[in-house]
Amino acid sequence: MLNQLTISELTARLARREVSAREATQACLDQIARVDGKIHAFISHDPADALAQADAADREIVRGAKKPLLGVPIAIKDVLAVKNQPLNCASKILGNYISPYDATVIEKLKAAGAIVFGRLNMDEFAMGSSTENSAFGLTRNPWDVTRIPGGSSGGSAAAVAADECLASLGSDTGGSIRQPAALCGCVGLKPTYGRVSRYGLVAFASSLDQVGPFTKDVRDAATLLGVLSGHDLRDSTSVPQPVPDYAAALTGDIRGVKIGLPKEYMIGGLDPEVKASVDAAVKKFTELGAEVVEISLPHTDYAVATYYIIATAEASANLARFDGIRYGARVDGHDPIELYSRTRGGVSGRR
Amino acid sequence: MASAEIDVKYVAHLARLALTPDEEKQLGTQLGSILGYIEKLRELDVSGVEPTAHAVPMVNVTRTDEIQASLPHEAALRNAPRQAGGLFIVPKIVE
Repeated sequence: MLNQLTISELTARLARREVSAREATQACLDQIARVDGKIHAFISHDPADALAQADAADREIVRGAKKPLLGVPIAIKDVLAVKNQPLNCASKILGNYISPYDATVIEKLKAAGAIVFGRLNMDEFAMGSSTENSAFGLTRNPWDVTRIPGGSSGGSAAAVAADECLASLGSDTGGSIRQPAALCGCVGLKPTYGRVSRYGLVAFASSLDQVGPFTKDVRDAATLLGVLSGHDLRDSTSVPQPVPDYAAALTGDIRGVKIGLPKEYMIGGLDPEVKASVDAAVKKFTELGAEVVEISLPHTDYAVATYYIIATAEASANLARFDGIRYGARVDGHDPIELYSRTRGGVSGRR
Repeated sequence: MASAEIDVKYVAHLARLALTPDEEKQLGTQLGSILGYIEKLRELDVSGVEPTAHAVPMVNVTRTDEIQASLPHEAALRNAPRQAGGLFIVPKIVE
């Protein structure tokens, strides 16, 4: 099943012309039709548009084009602008909003040959850790549909775990990539702040927001990070530094690598199963020649309280633009203040 | 955990957010417990700690003053709740 492949497996088979991008895309669409009724990772997707992109990729492959993601179907969290596609942030307040431009990361995916499709479910405006707080209904964990997939990028994690796409994009402010990736058993990476442009990402807490990949293995995460990274004049926080070849660094040799293990993370309330997994990883890394060192992050206990101040203050400023004036839904009032209040009170946070 | 008093009606007015009485009550309890939780930060003396705004410090980010492609007029107006004559229709602000 082509939808179950990793990016590196699919691109190798596409390059050898054993399979087509259309077949890979159709396999993802078939999987969505089969399982997404139960999982609900997608808010919406446009099969005809995805297949048209796949056909274009197949024509490029025939011409001998070499691009890192040529013909690879990648799905997108409903918080990133994709030109001519809906963008709702899983909220009612954006109404029938259609993005007039591509986010920088979407431009980069398209330039790398990816088939960019679908709107993945999330907690409204990326605020939440369970993907239960969506105006479009909740997402379920593909491993056990009675459980949550984590969040806020729960749709991005569930779609990759359920093989509905080969990889996806999400965003992480306070764990929104890392936590759902952990809960769904896929690879999720929050890049260092400044590494990846946020132009075209709907802002939640600007001093913390980053866009990052969900993939089926670490190699794919390295490949995707290489495509997404780089300086962008349209995001003034993006860092003007060269992008290393992440995938080339995956030699399999980790001898001499030093890995820090924060002692403050090994505290009461830690599930024994999680502790056992971490211990097994430490043992494995040590066997492979890495040095695992206990370190201290003494402010860990204050991190969440600090986050609650920073994230809410920045969200308050960033979400001020959703006022019914420039885009989205509008509920009229006798004066501007009543218009704002009714629009926000009437549609944001509503199901 | 300490629960702080909070004037939900006032905060909702500042946020221009219409709430039902039930929501005011529910949010008051929730905001109170969040404020109580973050009170723990008072334990810390951060007077000597420099604020961090970016993992890689950058100052005065500018670009060259050159004309660049921008969103076409129709595209910028495409999602307006109301528009006329190439402009956004907004509520009257000054009588």
